[in-house]
Amino acid sequence: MKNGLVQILSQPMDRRTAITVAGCAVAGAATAAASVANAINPFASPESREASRLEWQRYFQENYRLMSEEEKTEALLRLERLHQLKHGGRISVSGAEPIEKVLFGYAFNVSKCRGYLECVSACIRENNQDRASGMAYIRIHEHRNGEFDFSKASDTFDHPVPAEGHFYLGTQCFHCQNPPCVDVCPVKATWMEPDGIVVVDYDWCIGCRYCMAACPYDARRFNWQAPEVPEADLNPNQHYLGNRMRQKGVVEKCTFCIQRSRDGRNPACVEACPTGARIFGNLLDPQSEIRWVLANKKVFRLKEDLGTDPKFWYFMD
Amino acid sequence: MRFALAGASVVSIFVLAACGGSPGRPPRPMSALDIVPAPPGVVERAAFMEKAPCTRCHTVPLAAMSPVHPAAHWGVAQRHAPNETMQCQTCHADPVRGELRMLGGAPVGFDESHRLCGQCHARQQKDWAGGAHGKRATGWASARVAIGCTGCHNPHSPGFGRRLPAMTRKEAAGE
Amino acid sequence: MTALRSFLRYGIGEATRGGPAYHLWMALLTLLMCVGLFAYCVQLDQGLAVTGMRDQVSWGFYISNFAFLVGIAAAAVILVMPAYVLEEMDFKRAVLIGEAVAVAAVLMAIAFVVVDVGGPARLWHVLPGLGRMNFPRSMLAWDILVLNGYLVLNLGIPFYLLFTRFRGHTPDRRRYVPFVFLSILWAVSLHLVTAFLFAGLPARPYWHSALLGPRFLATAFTAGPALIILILVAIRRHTEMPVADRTIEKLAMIVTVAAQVCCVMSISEIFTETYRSTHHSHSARYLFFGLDGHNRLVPWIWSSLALQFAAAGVLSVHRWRQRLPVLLAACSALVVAIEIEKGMGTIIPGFVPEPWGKVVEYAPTWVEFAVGLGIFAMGAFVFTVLAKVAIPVELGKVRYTGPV
Ligand code: SF4
Ligand code: SF4
Repeated sequence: MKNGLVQILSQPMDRRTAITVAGCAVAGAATAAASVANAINPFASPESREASRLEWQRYFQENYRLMSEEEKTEALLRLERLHQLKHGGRISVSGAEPIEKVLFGYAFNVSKCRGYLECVSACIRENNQDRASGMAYIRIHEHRNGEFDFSKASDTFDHPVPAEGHFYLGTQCFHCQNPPCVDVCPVKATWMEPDGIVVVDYDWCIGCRYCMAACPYDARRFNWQAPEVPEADLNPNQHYLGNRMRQKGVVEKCTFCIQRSRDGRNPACVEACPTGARIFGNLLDPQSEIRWVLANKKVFRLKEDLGTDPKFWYFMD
Repeated sequence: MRFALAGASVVSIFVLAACGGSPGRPPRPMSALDIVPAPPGVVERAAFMEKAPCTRCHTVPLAAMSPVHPAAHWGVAQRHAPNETMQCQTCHADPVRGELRMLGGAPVGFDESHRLCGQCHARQQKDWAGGAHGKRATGWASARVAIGCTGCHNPHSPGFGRRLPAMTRKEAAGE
Repeated sequence: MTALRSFLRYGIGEATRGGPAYHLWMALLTLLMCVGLFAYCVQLDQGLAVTGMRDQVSWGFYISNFAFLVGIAAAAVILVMPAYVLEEMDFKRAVLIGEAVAVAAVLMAIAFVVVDVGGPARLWHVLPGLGRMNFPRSMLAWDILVLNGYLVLNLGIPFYLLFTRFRGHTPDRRRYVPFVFLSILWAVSLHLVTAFLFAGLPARPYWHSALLGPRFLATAFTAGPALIILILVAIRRHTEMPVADRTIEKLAMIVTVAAQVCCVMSISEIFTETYRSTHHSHSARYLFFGLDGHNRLVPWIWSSLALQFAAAGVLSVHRWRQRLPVLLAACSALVVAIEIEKGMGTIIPGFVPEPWGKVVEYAPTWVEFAVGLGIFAMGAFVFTVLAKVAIPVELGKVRYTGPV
């Protein structure tokens, strides 16, 4: 049982044992006991005691959306300090709030995408996605010309692109304005921010995966094992609701690179795309590129019949 | 991306409002015949071009030089349009003047490629000016600065090549 | 208070006393629970990656069993109705057993959810008051409330009845009948809510059907009473509790009708999904016929259907149904058929193909089987203890004689 039950403590502790089938109560108590035990253990190193104390506080922290300003600041500093204690490196975890009068939207040019997968690669690096399992938020589907049937498209192509007679179309989280994934979460661990980004609090998610069942677009990813990113490859510019390191057993997804977009920058996929197929901007700004696309191009969205109202449009030249 | 963008500076930052077609105001008609709309800010490129300005070498008319340096532009193959449609002179004026030239003969600078290309590629030009074509050099929140046509396309061979994707199938699909 | 203490003392004493067969049985269950616990520790340590589930099929064996067991739990209480309301004395005994089955089934269902979540240590986030339950928006939040309420009801009612008898009194109808009614309503809504958990997801066309709720109920009212018949016959053999033939016959009648309804629903579903097959029928096509060469579930679903139709057919003939060996065989067939149908035929095909049409097949791993085995052993353990304690009280063999 040691080292297993309580995943939020990454430092193994021998005396941590727990006997539980029903889990919850005992697991919580064990977490607490182990943290406390190490925090007051005079023989543990000061760093490991501090880490245990911080983990203990983190375990009992409130749902991020309901935190007060001070609690949020504390939570952010705690994550930075914990990273330093455990891995030595420095990260910065931002809690940048939504910008007023901003609602993010995205458009994808089907005529331009050529399947280079630069977006996928940039997304993985930007968002500190688990390298071991090969997690990716974006899927690029290779369709044969004359067909628009996803079940016949391939998202695992491994040949020079663009392949003759094919076109390419990417899917990811569409940040539905009426998101079914948010409705179903039993603990309000996922929600839509005022700027339209659907986010997950990785410290509040219990990993039930109901949201994955509810998403019609295969946008959500689960950490089936503890995610691994080599320290050298870690993107240290993080956001609490974005690319900060996840833990084992929680759900994550595209956040329109919240750590970048709330900073006025474009998401990594938009920046990386060599063909300019990806367009991002503020839907509430009539002068924005995304609004120009919506007004001047013939756009469509996927599975509109489900009433999810995605903020992600497709168009062609 | 034949021409590296690194170090490119931003010349003019026009207000985006000036470009036609933004919702809320009557769309501005645009065509090849139209006077080119006020573009967004464009990333400057001319100052970083290897062989510019042309006058570094072209001190005399072409006819006078060709026997002297026949191989100066040997690497350039015109894969843009059939030869009957386009030749070097379609875009390059008398190099002594160090500029590009519009179809009607008017000079146009290297940093205004959108004006030149837009003569034929009117739809792309319109999309580019509006924001549906090409890429911007800035984030969504800043004033819009677009990368010009030749920032992404090699004008002599404007198509994008075929190549392996940035990741293998295994990496992309986690299999 | 002394009466309560003595009741509890009796209960603990009774549960730990017994012949060698009893101890052997309990030891076996304990061993299985340990195996399950070990597998669960492996899962906690390495993450859910040790299961067969992946992003495409994100629920599997655990949630399937959860759905099945909720059905068993709901159906057990349907027996309550004739017993308490119609004053069928003999049925009442069956009801006690039914409620014990319900308690065990609810506990197992909860356990299957707990082992399925990625962060069991954070489960306090769902507790009302302490956590932030997404009520009434999330059907899972409803399910958590309904399951726990059901557990309390099903522990409370038998406890009241047995404790009153233990003290030598007659239970007061006015005190418990309202709760009995409540628990009947609760049982139906429990299973409906569980069906809505899936039916409320337009993302998964296979589940997004108005038939799913009724189908859950029909299968539950088949498998639940069928299981109880098997248990009652076992109890009649191995304990002193008499179980009248009439009780078994009535239960058999319920099973028969429910099984017939199940058959009608299966036919209706197969017709709708195959006559003019659309993209939304891909899951059903995968289940019944296989898709793009993937056909792992096909043998399972057809065996399940075959068992279900055969059993329903046999039970429909009065003369056959009245012969105990035939009845037992048919009941076992139905329990197996519906476990397969819920397990392989309901939850998993909802995920296949995934939303963009790619077929990723799922198969449980040893960890899932071992954990599941442990949970079933836990259920059997709980049921055995409850039945062992309840039967002598119900038979009037144990009485509290001390001061009140
Ligand atoms: S695409 Fe899926 S995960 Fe993203 S908001 Fe919509 S339902 Fe939620
Ligand atoms: S997996 Fe996490 S975010 Fe998704 S529904 Fe469950 S608790 Fe909510």
